[in-house]
Amino acid sequence: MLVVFRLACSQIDTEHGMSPVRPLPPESAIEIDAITHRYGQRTLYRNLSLTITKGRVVALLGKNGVGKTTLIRLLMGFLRPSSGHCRVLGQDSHALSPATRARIGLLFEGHLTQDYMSIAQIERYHRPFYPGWRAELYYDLVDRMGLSRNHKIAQMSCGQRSQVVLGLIFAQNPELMILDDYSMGLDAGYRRLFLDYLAAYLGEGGKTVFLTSHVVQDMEVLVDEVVFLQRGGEILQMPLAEFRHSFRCFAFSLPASAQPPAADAIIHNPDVFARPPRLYSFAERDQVARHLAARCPEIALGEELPMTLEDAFIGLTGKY
Amino acid sequence: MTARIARWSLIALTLALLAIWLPQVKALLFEYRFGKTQLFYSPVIERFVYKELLGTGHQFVYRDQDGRDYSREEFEQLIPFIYYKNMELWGQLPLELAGQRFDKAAIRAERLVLEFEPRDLPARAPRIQLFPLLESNPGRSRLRFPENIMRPGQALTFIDSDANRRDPTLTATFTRALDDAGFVFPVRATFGRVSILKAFDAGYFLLDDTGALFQLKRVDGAPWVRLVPLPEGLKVRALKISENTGSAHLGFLLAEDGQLYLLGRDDDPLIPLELPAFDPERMELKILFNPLYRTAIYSDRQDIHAVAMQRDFTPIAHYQRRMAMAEPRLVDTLWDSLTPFSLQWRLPESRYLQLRLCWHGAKACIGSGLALVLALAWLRWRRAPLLANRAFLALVVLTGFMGLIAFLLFPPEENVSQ
Amino acid sequence: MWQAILLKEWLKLRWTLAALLVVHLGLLAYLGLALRYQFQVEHSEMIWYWAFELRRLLHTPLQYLPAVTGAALALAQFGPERLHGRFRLSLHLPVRADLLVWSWLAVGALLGAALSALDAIGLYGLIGLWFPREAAASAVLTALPWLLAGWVAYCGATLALLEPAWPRRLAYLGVSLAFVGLLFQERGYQEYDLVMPALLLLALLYVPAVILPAHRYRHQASL
Repeated sequence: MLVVFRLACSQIDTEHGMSPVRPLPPESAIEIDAITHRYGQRTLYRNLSLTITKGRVVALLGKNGVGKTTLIRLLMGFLRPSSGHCRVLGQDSHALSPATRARIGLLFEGHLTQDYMSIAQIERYHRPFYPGWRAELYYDLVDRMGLSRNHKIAQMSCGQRSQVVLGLIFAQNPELMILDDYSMGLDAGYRRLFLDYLAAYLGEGGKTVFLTSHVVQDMEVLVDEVVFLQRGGEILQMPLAEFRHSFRCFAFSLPASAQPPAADAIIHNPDVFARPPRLYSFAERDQVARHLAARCPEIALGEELPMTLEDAFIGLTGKY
Repeated sequence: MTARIARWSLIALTLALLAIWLPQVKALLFEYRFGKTQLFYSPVIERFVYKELLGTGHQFVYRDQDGRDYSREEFEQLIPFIYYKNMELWGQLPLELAGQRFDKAAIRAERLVLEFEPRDLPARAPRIQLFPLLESNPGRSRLRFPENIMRPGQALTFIDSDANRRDPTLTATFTRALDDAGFVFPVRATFGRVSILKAFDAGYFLLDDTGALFQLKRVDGAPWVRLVPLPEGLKVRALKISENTGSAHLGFLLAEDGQLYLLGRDDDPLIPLELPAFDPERMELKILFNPLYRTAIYSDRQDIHAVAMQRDFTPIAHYQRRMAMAEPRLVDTLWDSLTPFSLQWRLPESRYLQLRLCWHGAKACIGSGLALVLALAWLRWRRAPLLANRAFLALVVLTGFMGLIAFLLFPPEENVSQ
Repeated sequence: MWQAILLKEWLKLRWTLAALLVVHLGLLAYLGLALRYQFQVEHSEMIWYWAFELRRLLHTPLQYLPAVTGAALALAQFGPERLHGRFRLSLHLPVRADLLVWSWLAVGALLGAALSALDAIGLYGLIGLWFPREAAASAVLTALPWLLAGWVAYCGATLALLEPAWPRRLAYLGVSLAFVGLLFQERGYQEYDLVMPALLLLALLYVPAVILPAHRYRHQASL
């Protein structure tokens, strides 16, 4: 099984950033090396490490508040971790050269942009900064809105604004796209349009995408790998197909007098509020059945249930 | 690197602003109630007497140069020409002194005060070089401003104030008059008192290109020019003109060599004043005239001097004392101990604002030492290495608490390399 | 690239600049009318006496205009950068952050300088209508610290707007207010003539200083 399961609590104390930087494998677009980050008294991550290989489309998934946006801010050098290092395209995220920044297309949360500009002005503004600028990709996307090119971005809907912002990132023609919650505020149509464009863009090859989204089902057609970020900084990184194949959901029945099964090495997450109650596991049915028979003989394991990716995401991360 | 320069720039700016503002705040918080000592020459006992404020209340001492104390009334009776109105109220007029009788009219006729301050020196105050040349013979009791103004320069140009335009006729007339009197243009300096609230108008004193001094008046609309006779070799630095009724003196003339003269009204020769230790750069001078004596009193913020003179300005006696205000106050001592320097913004002897660096001397080591202890404690609290913070420590040693405050306002970031 | 930076700054500033231009021209017009009125109701020689001897300043309506202009320019330029954290967009551009911030500063300072030049020329022209040229030049020299207050207010507001943390923002504002406070202490004309070079040097410290909040914004440990 190709599951890489990293627990946050490493034994190595890397306070004050004294740990040596590991050499970056040549195929890595992003390497997060044992970072610890705190907000006041709250520790968001402890010794979190993660590698994104070049040419892959990787989704960072997690519930609200686990620190997805913070991780992207750390990656882009807008925050400095208490300890550890982030490297992007081979450079420390706090020392990204202008040339490297030109190779990174960055979408900030909420489709942040200079909305006091018009469609044409913002393209004219960005163009000179990027040598490989492809204005046709930008206009191809934004012209579909049927708006005048003098239309102010501030007067656009959320979806229209996202077209502009994503169009700019496509036009930049970056090697690495980091997209923070690209789907925020987008209806199904706009999301699908973006996915189509992104798929076509990725078809050119050689591109890496690292993205976060709340719309888990979109990931099914888009990503090669998923990274699940849990509270406390625990992460689970694996190819999507592997996850879809190995993560299972089973129905079970529970007598009124019995205690529900607790999460352990085999049972990833029991959900007693679902009808029927179900439990999630990376183990196969036989192994789960044996495990239950030994630990909770009163519980009768049912059939394996089919799951959408969203079901699996909830199964993995829990509802609350 | 640029961030480090940015932070130190802010620290430098803050330090400069603290060095300017803190002394001003101190002056506002700890106001200075001591005035200067009032020193006189008593024609009654022929000794110097003075009045001085002690402490912060209304406690004055009235004392003579020998240390004898007087009541206020006694003191005022020692200088009856100053307090002649009280003398009149107390029925002590006319006075009999030195075998002469002085009634109120005689006293008033002789009373005169001439003053000369550092601010009267050229370049101690900004001055637009335009001067209204009054009609010296107005034919009425009050002087009035003319509708034109004089611009001394390569010529004596007159500008009409209603039209804001050069008056060619007046310009030609007055320039020619100066030419005819031997004046060599351009005008190097112009001295006079611009006011219509004066007893008469003496016009202006113009220094020509050769250093000769001319008096220029407008009399009945026409130019009146006089070459002022100066002693051989005298180079004029400044004049202070005071037009007073009945006075034979038009004011002061300060020579380049620092000698002060009294300027007469007509062709009288200049009267040199013998004023030991007088420094026109920083001392205020008054000459008090009374029917018997002339007393020159001059002081900076430390010492006051008085020279009593005969009516012909022959010195009789000189007295000097350190004023009560010169005694250091606790707050000043504390301030000087806590801060190694300050930047003086307003100087009493100039209208110009300046940034004059004042070092507070060796006692500032106390403040720098205390600030250094606090700085070391702060570094220890931050677990910061001393060697890496040597610039900070040097700053605190050199600038004391001001440097410490400036640095702590803009400390280095814990996690940001600067 | 620099043209693009200029374009963005222009887009942010143009309406504020237009409004400021109207205000500056309006105040100059007011000053002209006020001077005309003075000369209608008083004798010209008396007004000249007030101006030259009593050191009464006749152009005080312009006193605080440059400082307000500086703060307004900074607000127009850096307010939108602060809003929703748009500053991050600029900091991700492939250009050195310090050069970027300095280029913004140069744009704002040049526009401020243009308005200051308008004030100075307007002042010289207006005073010159009713006073000799010495008085016109003196009025401009007297107004120099007020114009410098425009630069200080601009830089102070810039520091505060780019700074991510409130306590530090207050520190920048405090320092800049202390500086501005030094520039309005005249009791007559040209009293700053001797101290202006020193004040100018002090004010130039703002040029490197503006990098600090941008650096803190880019690399702050926690915002």
